[in-house]
Amino acid sequence: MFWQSKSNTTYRIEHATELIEGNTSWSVLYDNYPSHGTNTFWMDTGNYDQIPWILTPKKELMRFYRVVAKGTNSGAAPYASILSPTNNAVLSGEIIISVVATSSYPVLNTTLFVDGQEMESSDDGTNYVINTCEWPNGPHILFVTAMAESGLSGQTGVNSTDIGRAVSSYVSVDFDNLIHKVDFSEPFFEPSLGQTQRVTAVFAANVNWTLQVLDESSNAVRTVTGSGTSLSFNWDGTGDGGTNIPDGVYMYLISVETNGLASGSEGGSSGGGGSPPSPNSFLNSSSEPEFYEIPLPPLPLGLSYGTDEEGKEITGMIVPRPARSHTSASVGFSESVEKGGPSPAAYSGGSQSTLAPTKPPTKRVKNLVGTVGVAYYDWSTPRTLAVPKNGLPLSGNSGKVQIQGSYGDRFLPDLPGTDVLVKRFAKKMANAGYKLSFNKSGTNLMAVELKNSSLGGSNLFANVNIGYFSDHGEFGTTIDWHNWAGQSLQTYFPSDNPSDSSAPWIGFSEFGFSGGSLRWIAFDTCFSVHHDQYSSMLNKGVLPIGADNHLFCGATTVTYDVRNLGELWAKKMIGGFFTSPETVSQAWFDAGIDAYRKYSGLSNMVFRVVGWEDCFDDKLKDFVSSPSGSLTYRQRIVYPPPP
Amino acid sequence: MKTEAIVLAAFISCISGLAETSPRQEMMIGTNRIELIWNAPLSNHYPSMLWVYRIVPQSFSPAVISNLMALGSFTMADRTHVEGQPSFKDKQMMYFTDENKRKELGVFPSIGWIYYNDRDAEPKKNEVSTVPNDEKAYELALEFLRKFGVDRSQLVTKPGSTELKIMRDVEIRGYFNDEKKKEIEDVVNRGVFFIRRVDGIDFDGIGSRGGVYFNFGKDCRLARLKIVWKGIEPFQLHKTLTPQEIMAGIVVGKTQWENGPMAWQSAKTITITSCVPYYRGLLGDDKEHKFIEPYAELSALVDDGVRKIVLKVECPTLGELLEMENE
Repeated sequence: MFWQSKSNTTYRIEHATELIEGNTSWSVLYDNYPSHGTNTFWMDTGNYDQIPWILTPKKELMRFYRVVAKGTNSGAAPYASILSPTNNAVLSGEIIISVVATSSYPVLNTTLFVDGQEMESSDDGTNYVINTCEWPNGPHILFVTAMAESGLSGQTGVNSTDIGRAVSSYVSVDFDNLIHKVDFSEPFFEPSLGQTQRVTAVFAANVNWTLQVLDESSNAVRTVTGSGTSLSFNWDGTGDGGTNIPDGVYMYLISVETNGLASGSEGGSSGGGGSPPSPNSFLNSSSEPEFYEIPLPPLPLGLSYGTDEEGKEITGMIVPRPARSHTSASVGFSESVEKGGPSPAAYSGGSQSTLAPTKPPTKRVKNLVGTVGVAYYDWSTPRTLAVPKNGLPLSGNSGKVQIQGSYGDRFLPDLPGTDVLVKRFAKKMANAGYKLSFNKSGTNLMAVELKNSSLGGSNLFANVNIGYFSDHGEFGTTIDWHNWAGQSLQTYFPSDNPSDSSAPWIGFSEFGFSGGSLRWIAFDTCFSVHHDQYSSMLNKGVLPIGADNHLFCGATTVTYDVRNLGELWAKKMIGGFFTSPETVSQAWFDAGIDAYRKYSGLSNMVFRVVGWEDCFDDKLKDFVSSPSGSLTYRQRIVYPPPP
Repeated sequence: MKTEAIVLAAFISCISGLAETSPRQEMMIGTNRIELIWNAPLSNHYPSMLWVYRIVPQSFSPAVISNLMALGSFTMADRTHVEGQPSFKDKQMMYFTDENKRKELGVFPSIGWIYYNDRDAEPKKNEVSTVPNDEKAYELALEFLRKFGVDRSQLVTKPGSTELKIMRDVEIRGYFNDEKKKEIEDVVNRGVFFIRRVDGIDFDGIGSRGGVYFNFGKDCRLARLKIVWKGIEPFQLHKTLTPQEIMAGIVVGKTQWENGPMAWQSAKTITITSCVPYYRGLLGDDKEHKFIEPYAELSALVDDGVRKIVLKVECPTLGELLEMENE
């Protein structure tokens, strides 16, 4: 999608399945997208971070779009650039894209885009790994966006932060692979329901190909072979010979070798196709690239793309085309994760192998390993709320809870990174086979949904295995007299949903966690288990942690809105090639230490995990089936480390 | 552990003293003009040259491997691959776990990474705590440093002292004791971080991205160990930037300010009061980065006419390339 834009503006891209005069139902496809200047582009590949999924447009008959200008950035723009690869690079296989971003603000996050499609986040914010085999051969545009904030938000009563955004210069590159356009149809599929997953690829020459389905230990459980210029295979979730194999995460490994036969046309492939969308001529290059025009699709009657500087009607986009060379591949691909990193190009013309694909939505999973639910309030419209009612029918302060020693109104600043934070958490968990069951926020999240069904709520979190909730948090310093509170001191979480404005606070004891499948949940909020309030709720027997829940991960202190806390928690729970999975509780502590390590001047932070004693050894794949013992907590100072 | 670092005492002639007049420049934040003043003495903390190091495979001696295996009473029969991950093709990579997966040891020379976990090293509830106190934990950590071949000369010391600089870590457990009818808090483990130093330059952070971490549980048992010790060899020798050049970088925004928040729109002066170089550390399991590079961390006093706030800022520190080792 291309549109004429205003500098220093952020956009929200919305979609609708049909246009109804005056009553079109628009849904958010992508939010907080920064302007690229006077012309901006973005690629729609669906949104698998929302529930229900918004499918890639390849699978939709039609889709209508609306681009909404949300406003201008409030702060100074950062600087963002791609260090490598450089313009006109010809790339094969898996590559590392190095970016740099700097700012006069302390909080800085980057996001890599390929042809306008957001890539998976980088572990360190500077190195992104992509597999070029997932795209068609030919020209592609890389850019990175940076978002800088004047401070970490999180504390109530503190002013909202200023935000600056920037987009790097475009880097125009060529992808050149024997195997390309590798794709698969669904992130999750359930063979027991008759579902299959189609994997497709296109080859730059006539080849003999082998497709292997690998389990988590890289054992091939299914092997199919063929020849030609494309591959299309519907996997039914069984192993060789139709054997049953466990549910879980599987990888596709495609290996090919040219066979000397004449190449058919690419159009014979079932992998879908067409040139990638490319941007207008924004290329900032010292070289002199060749330019060509991509025709724009026809518009409905009465609409136009406008006119160019000479007054002629715009019918196409001028795109830089870097020179292609098969001999100058500078970054390569490594089949084995053990080798890691860039290596000499694996593709030299005759053969190639690739694991495929890793870009969004996620790795393919036969059935699901578990479920994840995320919910958050990001306070995009900061508000001031009166303190919660205490359950007594009295007027004035006698009918209110004192919050942190005051009956005064509470100012709740925005938490601008929350949507990114929960999305990254959900994506990381999806890569380990955990399917996102819900992602609710703002006007789509009513406070009552979070509450216990005995209080008229929906027990939202009870129905997933792992939950993540992000919001402001406060602690009460006077008794809450509601029945559900049992005359305890409570911690409170506000709703930013305008529909909840008459009762915007949720007491901790109101949450509904038990009675379903919830094992572990994290509250990325301030004070969720503040010490005195935790003890009070424990003593009154009103903690919401049920006998079927395992661990609650929270904080006794203030916390701050960092982008990567959830992702780090997920990463440490999942583990990797060089690091085994950590326990759920240890992962929470270590994620906190890692997430805040580069900041200074923040308030002290203590993370606390509450749960049944024998659950502190829980790992994602190795946990007690029936929790026992008594409620216990573990806590660590995550910031700053004591000398 | 054999170190690949080369002591560069000969190269690190230091810029000493402070210029007679403090260098000044102007920077713009939006429409706000701010005076930038350098008032940081460049003592021996700031060398005139610095190496960029290339990451190469580390070598852990058989004695070190043997001591590590002894921690968990592992034999070669316990060698396997990390749960849910492919087998290692690199024969030097080792991962051990016991039958019940309560203890594990990973040794990865190619990325300079070792870890050990013992999930039974914590005291049970109501058990008399035998977790070492701070002093004992430090003693134990020193002993383990020796056993694991960590070169003490490559660890950060306290300023003006040969005593090692450490960071501590403690995990608390709280529960209601039915017998005593009250809440009890006890210590379940204590940790000590050591930070790596090369050519007199510290790795940044607390040791988790260049250094060693020990965590002790009951009966002084090692509960967790992390050794992040990349193999390195000199790659490029650079002149370090002068205060004027560093300030020029700040003016054009080639920086990462660490503290906040503050109102930049109202700042009048920024005075650089210290400049300390660090090597940027990497996580133990990082396999993507190929180099260890230095940067400068500055302390800046920001004055908006009403209040003064100390902020930290990361800046590039490498200038002209002086020497490059062969590929």
